[in-house]
Amino acid sequence: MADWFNITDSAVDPDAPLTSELGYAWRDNPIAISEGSIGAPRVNPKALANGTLICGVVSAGSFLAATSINPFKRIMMRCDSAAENSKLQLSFSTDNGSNWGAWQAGQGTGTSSISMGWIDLQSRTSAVFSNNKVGTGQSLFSQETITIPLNTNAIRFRASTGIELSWCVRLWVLEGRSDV
Amino acid sequence: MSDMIEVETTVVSALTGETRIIRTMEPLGAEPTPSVEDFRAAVQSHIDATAQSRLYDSGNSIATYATSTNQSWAAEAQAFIVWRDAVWSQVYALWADPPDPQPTVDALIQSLPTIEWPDA
Repeated sequence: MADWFNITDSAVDPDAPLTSELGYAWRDNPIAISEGSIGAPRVNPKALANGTLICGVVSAGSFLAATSINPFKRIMMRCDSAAENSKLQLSFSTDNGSNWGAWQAGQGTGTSSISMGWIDLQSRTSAVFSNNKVGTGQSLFSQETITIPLNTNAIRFRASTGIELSWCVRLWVLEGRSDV
Repeated sequence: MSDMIEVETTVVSALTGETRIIRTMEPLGAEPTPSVEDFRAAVQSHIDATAQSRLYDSGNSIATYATSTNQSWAAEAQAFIVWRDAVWSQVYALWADPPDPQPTVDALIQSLPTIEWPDA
Protein backbone atom coordinates (compact mmCIF):
# COMPACT_ATOMS: atom_id res chain seq x y z
CA MET A 1 0.00 0.00 0.00
CA ALA A 2 1.35 3.42 -0.94
CA ASP A 3 1.87 6.03 1.75
CA TRP A 4 0.24 9.41 1.60
CA PHE A 5 2.59 12.39 1.75
CA ASN A 6 1.37 15.89 2.42
CA ILE A 7 2.86 18.27 -0.12
CA THR A 8 3.26 21.69 1.50
CA ASP A 9 3.11 25.02 -0.28
CA SER A 10 6.77 25.62 0.44
CA ALA A 11 7.68 22.42 -1.37
CA VAL A 12 6.17 23.71 -4.58
CA ASP A 13 6.69 27.45 -4.21
CA PRO A 14 8.66 29.21 -6.98
CA ASP A 15 12.37 28.37 -6.80
CA ALA A 16 11.70 25.49 -4.38
CA PRO A 17 14.11 22.62 -5.04
CA LEU A 18 12.82 19.66 -6.97
CA THR A 19 13.55 16.82 -4.57
CA SER A 20 13.13 13.09 -4.93
CA GLU A 21 10.82 13.19 -1.92
CA LEU A 22 8.52 15.43 -3.92
CA GLY A 23 8.80 13.07 -6.86
CA TYR A 24 7.82 10.10 -4.72
CA ALA A 25 4.82 12.05 -3.45
CA TRP A 26 3.69 12.84 -6.99
CA ARG A 27 4.03 9.17 -7.88
CA ASP A 28 2.52 7.61 -4.78
CA ASN A 29 -0.20 10.03 -3.68
CA PRO A 30 -2.71 9.08 -6.43
CA ILE A 31 -2.08 5.44 -5.56
CA ALA A 32 -2.59 6.18 -1.88
CA ILE A 33 -5.95 7.80 -2.63
CA SER A 34 -7.15 4.82 -4.61
CA GLU A 35 -6.01 2.48 -1.85
CA GLY A 36 -7.53 4.48 0.99
CA SER A 37 -4.18 4.89 2.75
CA ILE A 38 -3.95 6.54 6.15
CA GLY A 39 -4.01 10.30 5.79
CA ALA A 40 -5.06 10.26 2.15
CA PRO A 41 -8.23 12.14 1.25
CA ARG A 42 -11.25 9.91 0.77
CA VAL A 43 -13.03 9.66 -2.54
CA ASN A 44 -16.13 11.83 -2.41
CA PRO A 45 -19.31 9.98 -3.40
CA LYS A 46 -19.98 12.84 -5.75
CA ALA A 47 -16.97 11.68 -7.77
CA LEU A 48 -18.29 8.17 -8.24
CA ALA A 49 -19.85 7.16 -11.51
CA ASN A 50 -23.32 5.67 -11.38
CA GLY A 51 -22.91 2.28 -9.70
CA THR A 52 -26.07 0.89 -11.25
CA LEU A 53 -25.29 -1.82 -13.78
CA ILE A 54 -28.76 -2.56 -15.10
CA CYS A 55 -32.26 -1.55 -14.15
CA GLY A 56 -35.25 -2.74 -16.09
CA VAL A 57 -38.15 -5.12 -16.43
CA VAL A 58 -37.97 -8.71 -17.56
CA SER A 59 -40.53 -11.25 -18.65
CA ALA A 60 -40.48 -14.62 -20.37
CA GLY A 61 -40.01 -12.79 -23.68
CA SER A 62 -37.80 -9.92 -22.56
CA PHE A 63 -34.45 -10.55 -20.88
CA LEU A 64 -31.99 -8.16 -19.25
CA ALA A 65 -28.23 -8.75 -19.34
CA ALA A 66 -25.07 -7.06 -18.07
CA THR A 67 -21.73 -7.87 -19.71
CA SER A 68 -18.09 -7.13 -18.76
CA ILE A 69 -18.91 -7.50 -15.08
CA ASN A 70 -15.70 -9.36 -14.17
CA PRO A 71 -13.97 -6.27 -12.65
CA PHE A 72 -16.56 -6.26 -9.90
CA LYS A 73 -16.31 -8.29 -6.75
CA ARG A 74 -19.70 -7.88 -5.16
CA ILE A 75 -22.87 -7.02 -7.03
CA MET A 76 -26.13 -6.31 -5.25
CA MET A 77 -29.44 -7.39 -6.69
CA ARG A 78 -33.00 -6.40 -5.99
CA CYS A 79 -35.86 -7.85 -7.99
CA ASP A 80 -39.56 -7.24 -7.45
CA SER A 81 -42.65 -8.78 -8.95
CA ALA A 82 -46.39 -8.51 -8.51
CA ALA A 83 -47.00 -11.39 -10.88
CA GLU A 84 -48.32 -14.56 -9.34
CA ASN A 85 -46.65 -17.81 -10.19
CA SER A 86 -43.76 -16.24 -12.09
CA LYS A 87 -40.24 -17.21 -11.06
CA LEU A 88 -37.23 -14.96 -11.55
CA GLN A 89 -34.31 -16.83 -13.07
CA LEU A 90 -30.72 -15.92 -13.87
CA SER A 91 -27.87 -17.40 -15.84
CA PHE A 92 -24.19 -16.63 -16.29
CA SER A 93 -21.79 -16.40 -19.20
CA THR A 94 -17.99 -16.79 -19.31
CA ASP A 95 -17.60 -15.40 -22.84
CA ASN A 96 -19.33 -12.08 -22.26
CA GLY A 97 -22.73 -13.12 -23.47
CA SER A 98 -21.99 -15.19 -26.56
CA ASN A 99 -23.08 -18.32 -24.75
CA TRP A 100 -25.05 -18.73 -21.56
CA GLY A 101 -25.22 -21.35 -18.83
CA ALA A 102 -28.41 -22.98 -17.58
CA TRP A 103 -31.08 -20.90 -15.91
CA GLN A 104 -30.84 -20.95 -12.13
CA ALA A 105 -32.87 -19.95 -9.09
CA GLY A 106 -36.58 -19.57 -9.44
CA GLN A 107 -38.45 -18.84 -6.27
CA GLY A 108 -41.34 -16.49 -6.20
CA THR A 109 -44.47 -18.54 -6.75
CA GLY A 110 -46.68 -16.15 -4.83
CA THR A 111 -47.69 -12.60 -5.46
CA SER A 112 -45.61 -9.58 -4.58
CA SER A 113 -42.40 -11.49 -4.52
CA ILE A 114 -39.05 -9.92 -3.80
CA SER A 115 -35.61 -11.35 -4.40
CA MET A 116 -32.58 -9.57 -3.07
CA GLY A 117 -29.05 -10.35 -2.20
CA TRP A 118 -25.54 -10.24 -3.62
CA ILE A 119 -23.22 -12.31 -5.75
CA ASP A 120 -19.44 -12.27 -5.33
CA LEU A 121 -17.57 -12.90 -8.59
CA GLN A 122 -14.18 -13.15 -6.85
CA SER A 123 -15.07 -15.79 -4.27
CA ARG A 124 -17.97 -17.10 -6.42
CA THR A 125 -20.29 -17.07 -3.46
CA SER A 126 -23.73 -15.58 -3.09
CA ALA A 127 -26.49 -14.81 -0.66
CA VAL A 128 -29.79 -14.43 -2.43
CA PHE A 129 -33.12 -14.52 -0.65
CA SER A 130 -36.62 -14.67 -2.02
CA ASN A 131 -39.74 -13.49 -0.29
CA ASN A 132 -42.91 -15.16 -1.47
CA LYS A 133 -46.20 -13.80 -0.23
CA VAL A 134 -48.98 -16.34 -0.32
CA GLY A 135 -52.71 -15.92 -0.07
CA THR A 136 -52.88 -14.70 3.52
CA GLY A 137 -50.13 -12.21 2.91
CA GLN A 138 -47.72 -14.24 4.98
CA SER A 139 -44.17 -13.92 3.74
CA LEU A 140 -41.88 -16.86 3.18
CA PHE A 141 -38.22 -16.05 3.04
CA SER A 142 -36.06 -18.68 1.46
CA GLN A 143 -32.43 -18.69 0.40
CA GLU A 144 -31.55 -19.48 -3.16
CA THR A 145 -28.67 -21.73 -4.17
CA ILE A 146 -26.71 -20.19 -7.02
CA THR A 147 -23.68 -21.63 -8.79
CA ILE A 148 -21.32 -19.00 -10.23
CA PRO A 149 -18.95 -20.42 -12.87
CA LEU A 150 -15.24 -19.57 -12.85
CA ASN A 151 -14.44 -16.53 -15.04
CA THR A 152 -18.02 -15.33 -15.12
CA ASN A 153 -18.19 -12.02 -16.93
CA ALA A 154 -21.89 -11.61 -17.76
CA ILE A 155 -25.25 -12.20 -16.11
CA ARG A 156 -28.78 -12.16 -17.45
CA PHE A 157 -32.30 -12.36 -16.03
CA ARG A 158 -35.70 -13.52 -17.20
CA ALA A 159 -39.11 -14.43 -15.79
CA SER A 160 -39.87 -18.12 -16.13
CA THR A 161 -43.38 -17.48 -17.38
CA GLY A 162 -45.55 -14.62 -18.43
CA ILE A 163 -45.03 -12.71 -21.64
CA GLU A 164 -46.40 -9.65 -19.89
CA LEU A 165 -44.01 -7.57 -17.81
CA SER A 166 -43.23 -9.60 -14.74
CA TRP A 167 -40.14 -8.61 -12.75
CA CYS A 168 -38.33 -5.37 -12.12
CA VAL A 169 -34.60 -6.05 -11.83
CA ARG A 170 -31.85 -3.77 -10.53
CA LEU A 171 -28.15 -4.54 -10.16
CA TRP A 172 -25.57 -2.24 -8.67
CA VAL A 173 -21.91 -2.52 -7.76
CA LEU A 174 -20.88 -2.74 -4.13
CA GLU A 175 -17.19 -3.47 -4.47
CA GLY A 176 -14.49 -3.89 -7.09
CA ARG A 177 -12.17 -6.89 -7.38
CA SER A 178 -8.59 -6.87 -6.20
CA ASP A 179 -7.40 -9.88 -8.19
CA VAL A 180 -8.00 -8.74 -11.78
CA MET B 1 -39.29 -30.36 -27.91
CA SER B 2 -40.09 -27.18 -25.98
CA ASP B 3 -41.78 -24.24 -27.65
CA MET B 4 -39.49 -21.51 -28.94
CA ILE B 5 -40.28 -17.84 -28.69
CA GLU B 6 -38.56 -14.75 -29.97
CA VAL B 7 -36.83 -13.07 -27.06
CA GLU B 8 -35.57 -9.52 -26.90
CA THR B 9 -32.55 -9.06 -24.63
CA THR B 10 -31.39 -5.63 -23.50
CA VAL B 11 -27.64 -5.93 -23.03
CA VAL B 12 -25.74 -3.30 -21.06
CA SER B 13 -21.94 -3.25 -20.99
CA ALA B 14 -20.65 -2.52 -17.51
CA LEU B 15 -17.41 -1.41 -19.13
CA THR B 16 -18.73 1.24 -21.50
CA GLY B 17 -22.38 1.70 -20.53
CA GLU B 18 -23.32 0.90 -24.11
CA THR B 19 -26.81 -0.57 -24.46
CA ARG B 20 -27.90 -2.76 -27.33
CA ILE B 21 -30.87 -4.97 -28.03
CA ILE B 22 -30.50 -8.40 -29.54
CA ARG B 23 -33.22 -10.77 -30.67
CA THR B 24 -32.90 -14.53 -30.42
CA MET B 25 -35.10 -17.58 -30.41
CA GLU B 26 -35.17 -19.15 -26.98
CA PRO B 27 -36.95 -22.14 -25.44
CA LEU B 28 -40.03 -20.95 -23.63
CA GLY B 29 -39.58 -21.27 -19.88
CA ALA B 30 -41.62 -24.09 -18.44
CA GLU B 31 -44.60 -23.18 -16.33
CA PRO B 32 -43.33 -23.37 -12.77
CA THR B 33 -45.08 -26.32 -11.18
CA PRO B 34 -45.15 -25.94 -7.40
CA SER B 35 -43.40 -28.80 -5.68
CA VAL B 36 -44.66 -30.71 -2.68
CA GLU B 37 -42.24 -28.62 -0.62
CA ASP B 38 -43.70 -25.41 -2.09
CA PHE B 39 -47.16 -26.46 -0.93
CA ARG B 40 -45.95 -27.74 2.44
CA ALA B 41 -44.03 -24.57 3.23
CA ALA B 42 -46.95 -22.36 2.24
CA VAL B 43 -49.45 -24.36 4.30
CA GLN B 44 -47.15 -24.37 7.33
CA SER B 45 -46.66 -20.64 6.98
CA HIS B 46 -50.43 -20.17 6.81
CA ILE B 47 -50.86 -22.26 9.96
CA ASP B 48 -48.23 -20.25 11.81
CA ALA B 49 -49.76 -16.98 10.65
CA THR B 50 -53.13 -18.07 11.97
CA ALA B 51 -51.60 -18.77 15.37
CA GLN B 52 -49.74 -15.45 15.29
CA SER B 53 -53.03 -13.64 14.69
CA ARG B 54 -53.83 -14.57 18.28
CA LEU B 55 -50.39 -13.46 19.46
CA TYR B 56 -48.86 -16.91 19.75
CA ASP B 57 -45.38 -17.45 18.34
CA SER B 58 -46.34 -20.29 16.02
CA GLY B 59 -48.65 -23.20 15.43
CA ASN B 60 -46.47 -25.33 17.68
CA SER B 61 -46.63 -22.73 20.42
CA ILE B 62 -50.40 -22.43 20.54
CA ALA B 63 -50.77 -26.22 20.55
CA THR B 64 -48.87 -26.41 23.84
CA TYR B 65 -51.70 -24.50 25.52
CA ALA B 66 -54.18 -27.34 24.95
CA THR B 67 -53.78 -28.40 28.60
CA SER B 68 -53.34 -24.88 29.95
CA THR B 69 -54.97 -24.06 33.28
CA ASN B 70 -56.18 -20.87 31.63
CA GLN B 71 -59.52 -21.90 30.12
CA SER B 72 -59.45 -19.22 27.43
CA TRP B 73 -56.03 -20.25 26.16
CA ALA B 74 -56.90 -23.94 26.33
CA ALA B 75 -60.04 -23.30 24.29
CA GLU B 76 -58.08 -21.41 21.66
CA ALA B 77 -55.55 -24.21 21.47
CA GLN B 78 -58.24 -26.86 21.10
CA ALA B 79 -59.97 -24.92 18.33
CA PHE B 80 -56.62 -24.45 16.63
CA ILE B 81 -55.74 -28.15 16.80
CA VAL B 82 -59.10 -29.15 15.29
CA TRP B 83 -58.60 -26.64 12.49
CA ARG B 84 -54.98 -27.64 11.90
CA ASP B 85 -56.02 -31.30 11.51
CA ALA B 86 -58.67 -30.28 8.98
CA VAL B 87 -56.11 -28.25 7.02
CA TRP B 88 -53.56 -31.03 6.77
CA SER B 89 -56.24 -33.61 6.05
CA GLN B 90 -57.30 -31.57 3.06
CA VAL B 91 -53.72 -31.11 1.89
CA TYR B 92 -52.90 -34.83 2.25
CA ALA B 93 -56.06 -35.70 0.33
CA LEU B 94 -54.88 -33.36 -2.41
CA TRP B 95 -51.52 -35.06 -2.57
CA ALA B 96 -53.11 -38.53 -2.59
CA ASP B 97 -55.40 -37.61 -5.48
CA PRO B 98 -53.98 -34.56 -7.24
CA PRO B 99 -56.50 -32.61 -9.28
CA ASP B 100 -55.85 -31.75 -12.90
CA PRO B 101 -54.86 -29.02 -13.38
CA GLN B 102 -52.86 -28.67 -10.20
CA PRO B 103 -53.84 -25.55 -8.25
CA THR B 104 -51.42 -22.76 -7.59
CA VAL B 105 -50.04 -22.39 -4.10
CA ASP B 106 -52.13 -19.29 -3.58
CA ALA B 107 -55.30 -21.04 -4.74
CA LEU B 108 -54.67 -23.90 -2.33
CA ILE B 109 -54.26 -21.57 0.61
CA GLN B 110 -57.47 -19.77 -0.30
CA SER B 111 -59.34 -23.10 -0.39
CA LEU B 112 -58.31 -24.21 3.11
CA PRO B 113 -60.84 -24.34 5.94
CA THR B 114 -61.39 -21.23 8.01
CA ILE B 115 -60.69 -21.52 11.72
CA GLU B 116 -63.51 -20.93 14.17
CA TRP B 117 -62.08 -19.35 17.26
CA PRO B 118 -63.95 -19.76 20.56
CA ASP B 119 -65.81 -16.75 21.80
CA ALA B 120 -63.63 -14.46 23.87
